[in-house]
Amino acid sequence: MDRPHSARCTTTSPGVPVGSGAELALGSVVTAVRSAVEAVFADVAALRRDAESVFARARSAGTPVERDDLAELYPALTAPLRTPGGLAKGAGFVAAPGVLADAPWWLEWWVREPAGEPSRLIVDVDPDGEHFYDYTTLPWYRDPQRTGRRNVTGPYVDYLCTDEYTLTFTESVRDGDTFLGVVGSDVDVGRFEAITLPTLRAVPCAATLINAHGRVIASNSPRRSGGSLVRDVDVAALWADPAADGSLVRCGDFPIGVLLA
Amino acid sequence: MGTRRSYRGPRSAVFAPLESLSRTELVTHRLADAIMLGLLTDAEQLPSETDLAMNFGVSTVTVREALTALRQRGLIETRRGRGGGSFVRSPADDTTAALRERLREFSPGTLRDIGDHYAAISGAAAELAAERADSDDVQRLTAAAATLAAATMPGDRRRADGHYWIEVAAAAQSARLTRAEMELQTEVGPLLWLVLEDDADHVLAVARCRAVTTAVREGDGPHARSVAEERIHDAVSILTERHLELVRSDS
Repeated sequence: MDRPHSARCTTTSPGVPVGSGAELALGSVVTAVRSAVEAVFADVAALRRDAESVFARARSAGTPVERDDLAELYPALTAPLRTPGGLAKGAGFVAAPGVLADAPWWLEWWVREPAGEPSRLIVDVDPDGEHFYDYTTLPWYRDPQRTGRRNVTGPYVDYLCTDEYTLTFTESVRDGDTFLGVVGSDVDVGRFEAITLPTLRAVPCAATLINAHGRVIASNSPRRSGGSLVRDVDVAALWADPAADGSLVRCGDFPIGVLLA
Repeated sequence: MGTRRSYRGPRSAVFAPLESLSRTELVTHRLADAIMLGLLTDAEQLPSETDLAMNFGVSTVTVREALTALRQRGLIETRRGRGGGSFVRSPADDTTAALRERLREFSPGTLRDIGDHYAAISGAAAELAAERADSDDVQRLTAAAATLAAATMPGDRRRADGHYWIEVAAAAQSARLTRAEMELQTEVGPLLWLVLEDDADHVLAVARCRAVTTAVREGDGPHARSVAEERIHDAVSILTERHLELVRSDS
């Protein structure tokens, strides 16, 4: 059987020939990924600014922040969930334990509804509850807390909230040096794949979108199935130095890249 | 916030909005699961039909149908008049006796079939987890196994064991296998956990979780699968024995 997309790029240094059709095709993969991710992160950043201003104002007024104060986030939070055809299927603010005066643990997380208004996801936030889960250990919370940088978690099965295969884009919320929690958006992996696959298919050799762990997000090659880990290539080394042999092309200032191998 | 009335606290997920598929069944399942898992406790009064309808985002007719189904399954009872309403009749309240009763109703053939289904799901999830788990996944499996090892109360052990196997399915990167694992735990988990009663069983369960975690870390799919399958097959053979004892003592 003829499988053009399982072909390997023969020129691995420096990647694909400059000015070639392959380079142009690769450029459109990067553009498609970057514009999708940046659009999601733009909404996340708007939400972060609103969250930070809620806390900053309360600090200058000397008043505590309570759950109801988060109502101010509602416009920035739900707008992306109303946009028809928008990527985000969920968005919200997840509070660091103890920063809200009336709720030690809190997820203000809203999800897109197939028809109508977004609805709030109700999660067990009672530490003694049957379904309580300490979210501070999860990568979408822990990583931006540690690094202060924009974070992409997944693809992973989000069994805590929606039971779906998900990419989560998060950013930390801070007031000066104080970490207050994270804001973020969830994107369905299938949707992300559908958006990027046409550009991947135009690349004349095997091209695969991977995350920092080498987990496959989308690929034009049947050898690389979504959700599997790339094990035949030293992905960690490529991420440490993407310029090394040109077989990993970063899509932007976030950990998603195109693997040409 | 918003117009939707939301329940807060441990049982709130029970009343979270539903998707628009076969609504009566969804409502029935949601409530039955909550009762079987002990999320709704014995003798607790359910919200009114109107409130349930509003919370689930369904019609009162749908809620009424679901309540009828639950009543037929003996999971709720309805009292009329002042102070009336629907009340939970929790099998978890008398766990062992209620489960033994349930076990009596399963034929060895049915138990075998449940075991085949569960072993297929759990085994496949474990094997795929070994192929696909990254270091974060392995870390979570290790933590979940440690939680199980530290659990002393039966309820905590049951939860920790269930949580571990959901982590395995999630590490397989399959939303469908994860949902299947959750559904099987709801459906037959309480029966399987009958065999997690004494300390020796607990030690064995912990050893199996650790063996699977090691196999996943080392990328040994076949071994992860065989341990996962063995867990189910063992449970089914013990349950079959107990079923036969129950039936024998009847005659």
